[in-house]
Amino acid sequence: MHSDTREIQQRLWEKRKDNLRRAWYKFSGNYLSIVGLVIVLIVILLAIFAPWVSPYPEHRGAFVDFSKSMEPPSSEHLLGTDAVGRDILTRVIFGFRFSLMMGFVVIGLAAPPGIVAGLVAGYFRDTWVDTLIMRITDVFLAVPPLILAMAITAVLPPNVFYAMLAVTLMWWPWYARLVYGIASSLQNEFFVQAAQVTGASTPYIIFKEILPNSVSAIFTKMTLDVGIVIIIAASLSFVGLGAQPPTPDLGTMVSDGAKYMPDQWWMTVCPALAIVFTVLGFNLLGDGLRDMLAVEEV
Amino acid sequence: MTDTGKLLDVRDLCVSYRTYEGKLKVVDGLTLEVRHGEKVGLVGETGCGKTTTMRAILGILPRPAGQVDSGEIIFKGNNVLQMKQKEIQRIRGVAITAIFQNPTAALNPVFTIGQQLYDVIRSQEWRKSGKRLSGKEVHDRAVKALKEAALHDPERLLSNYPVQLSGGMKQRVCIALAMVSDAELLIADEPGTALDVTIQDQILRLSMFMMSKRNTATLYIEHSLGVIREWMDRVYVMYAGRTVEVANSVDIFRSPRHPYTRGLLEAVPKLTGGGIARGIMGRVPEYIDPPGGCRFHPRCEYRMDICTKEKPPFFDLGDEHKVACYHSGS
Amino acid sequence: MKLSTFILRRLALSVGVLLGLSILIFVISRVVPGDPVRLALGARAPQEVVDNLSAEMHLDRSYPVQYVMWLKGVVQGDFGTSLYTRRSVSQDVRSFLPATLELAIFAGIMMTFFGILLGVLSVQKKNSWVDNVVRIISYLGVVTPAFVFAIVFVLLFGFYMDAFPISGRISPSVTPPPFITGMITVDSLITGNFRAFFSALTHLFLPALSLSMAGLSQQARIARSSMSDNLQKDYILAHRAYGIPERKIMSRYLLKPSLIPTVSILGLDFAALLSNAFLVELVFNWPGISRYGVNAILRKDLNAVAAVVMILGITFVVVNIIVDVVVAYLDPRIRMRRDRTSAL
Repeated sequence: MHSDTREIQQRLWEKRKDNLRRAWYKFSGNYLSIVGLVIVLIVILLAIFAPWVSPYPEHRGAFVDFSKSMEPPSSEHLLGTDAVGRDILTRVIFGFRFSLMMGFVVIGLAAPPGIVAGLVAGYFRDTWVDTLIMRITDVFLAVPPLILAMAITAVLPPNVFYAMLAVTLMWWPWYARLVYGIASSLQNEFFVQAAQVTGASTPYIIFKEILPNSVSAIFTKMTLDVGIVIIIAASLSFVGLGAQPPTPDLGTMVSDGAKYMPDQWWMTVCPALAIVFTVLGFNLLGDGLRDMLAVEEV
Repeated sequence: MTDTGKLLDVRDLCVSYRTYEGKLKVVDGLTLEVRHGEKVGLVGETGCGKTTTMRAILGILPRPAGQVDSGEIIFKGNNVLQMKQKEIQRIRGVAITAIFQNPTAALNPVFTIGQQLYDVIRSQEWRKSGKRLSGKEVHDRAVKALKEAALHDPERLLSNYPVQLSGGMKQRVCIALAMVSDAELLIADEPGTALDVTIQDQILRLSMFMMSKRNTATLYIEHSLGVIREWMDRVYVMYAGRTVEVANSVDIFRSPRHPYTRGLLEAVPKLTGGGIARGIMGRVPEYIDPPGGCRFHPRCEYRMDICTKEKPPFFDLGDEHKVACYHSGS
Repeated sequence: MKLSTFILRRLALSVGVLLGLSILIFVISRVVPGDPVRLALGARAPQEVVDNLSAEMHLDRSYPVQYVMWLKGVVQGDFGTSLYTRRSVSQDVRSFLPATLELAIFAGIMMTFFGILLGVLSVQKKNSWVDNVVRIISYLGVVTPAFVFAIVFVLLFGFYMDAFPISGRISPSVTPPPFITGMITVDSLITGNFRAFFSALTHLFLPALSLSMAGLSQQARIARSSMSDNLQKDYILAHRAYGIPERKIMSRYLLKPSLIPTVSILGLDFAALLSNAFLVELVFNWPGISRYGVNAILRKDLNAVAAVVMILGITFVVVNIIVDVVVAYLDPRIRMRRDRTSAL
């Protein structure tokens, strides 16, 4: 018996390795997915090692050197300097930190409650539980996310923490809706009925039978959403409701730099392109995952 | 090249699909002919290239994945493959028409039966005589076509969407769509497969009855020989993209020669003479790297050395019975 | 189900959603830590003024009573007094909303029209340079925030090419038309003032373009993929086999089913459009309700914030109803379906 289980485990492991290899083959078949992965890795590494890889780490915060203000891109300052003489490349690299943190934290906080709500509503389809949960999400989805986030920041002190909280509060319903769609179509499947008949508990069925079947869709959406949250965070900062100076934030940099258009264009264009670059990376990666995991449009 | 007896002459047709995995040679050297007014059956397992053959003949291979690599499809003396898109369009619907396998997929879901039928009738008449029909004429013809296809209440049906109809009704509508043209050749691709067995029989009888009445030549594609027995003049048996045997419908049942044909016949359950139908071991091969020589050899119990190496030619057994097999041909 | 029944059911569901939305907004705007009036007026405001405003907003009553009174006002179009300008919020909304509606409608039309047009072009010339350009545009549109588009367009078309004005709704040298609908293009057409119409149109172009880019690229993407999917469908092959002319198949039998996913996503695209209005109006100095809303948020003017969110929510709900009805019109399968429809 003992050697049997070991053999089965061995075979399962082999199978899993084989699946992984196949998934990678499929993923790498599209060179755009690889480009996405590389962009995401670059941005993450830059963010982690920002103090060591940025040319003027001391420029990240409240630093002033008016003798060097508004210098165009040069070998000394690759992306030029801003109105108070700070190196823009340095601030962009530190800006990645803030963007990524925003993206990861918001999605990390918003996804779990949304997933649970969607699973429960989907499993109890057409009962009062379903109605209650999905009507609440309908209300949240009835206002464009950015507008609701702005309204929430209105009553809270203007800082990064509350901006994150605001975006999180309006993000969970999107996961609820995605998972609800999957769970409500699965709750009638034979494998769920079989589990019910054999006396499995409801939480067991929801988390061990239905959840694993939604993982690829959730994972793909999370990757794509990191990009969208980065855009929303930058938009909040652009309006003045997100990160406050002197925090190095890409949205704030774009809006500050916009005052010096068109002559000092680099002050606004460079951080703007940095946002596009990051979001592009997550989007390409997400699309690659979608193809690899054969997820339908999420 | 022109042969007055032949309406459709397909010679050595090769069709392939370019896919992610590589090039699939789905049809590889198919030969068949249909004469004026003749009913011809084309039989083979699911996945042996029957539907692809039909699409190639109609010039409606999915673009850009599907393409004809070589061979000839001669319809009334003209090679369809060398025609321009415009010329093919002129024959399609007017001279050749088709009934598809799955009526639910073959009807446009967002247009009413009337809208679809009217358009076909109008473009038919425009092609044939350059005449524009009045709304009344179009409507009358549509009602007549639906009645002929044994559909009740055609007036109401015209304003219905496909989603409101049952499978059998949808297939009758498709038959009506195919019939309004008075084409010389009808290609029917397993018109009953997607339906219940009882409905399937009705559909078969209906389409055959209409074909006989109009003396339309028919190429009837099926996966089972049983269905075909009653109505066909001749039968082609196809395996993995190739014609393997052809005979008149009496001979093919009485003295099948190719091991594959025999297997197919044994797979038909019989009401008399007991036992479970036998079937053929294995399945249709992969098309990326198909077996060399005779494509059936991995599944064949009479396999000889030569079968694995050379593609068998047609052996003429007389009385229009031909077989592509080294074992039973020579 | 008849289309009219479908519309009625859809309306009933929307009323529920709007009620829920009003509760949500009320909770956000009233259940704040501390006194909302004090928050808005600042620490130095005289106690008397604070007390007056608090009484007007019924802040001394329980929350449910406050909600009912607030909702009563909202239904009658009264959003209370702005805590900052001390004017009636409804008055402010009336003067700022038309500018945003004009911009949003214009951008919505551009997004739908050009989006679908690009998608169709890209399918017809599949794998040509046209297709590649469309694919690149549709990707850039999705990953670029609206304010980046706005800034890039201001730099390119405004400063370098000097082709379009980049601020305001109409040139200062042009006499604006009288306030009829509040939308300058419409008002100038009504009064026959073509100089004003043309000026308003050129002022609209860049903000509307920046606003529509996200939705436009999404539309192009969906139109492209749904058309190339449907092109492989049996019914298109069948239409060909029945001898229907290719041009008719493309313009009628392929387009209509392919429009369904495109139109379905319009609601979401319009949501993005309304959100982006907040950023684009700032960049182009557009005196609309979104810019008003941003200022209200920055000044903690909660009555004004609630009004702006509620009005944009209503707009969005209305747009979604229209979208659903159009989809139901296009797709009989949805109309015929008997089970319940989602509220959104």
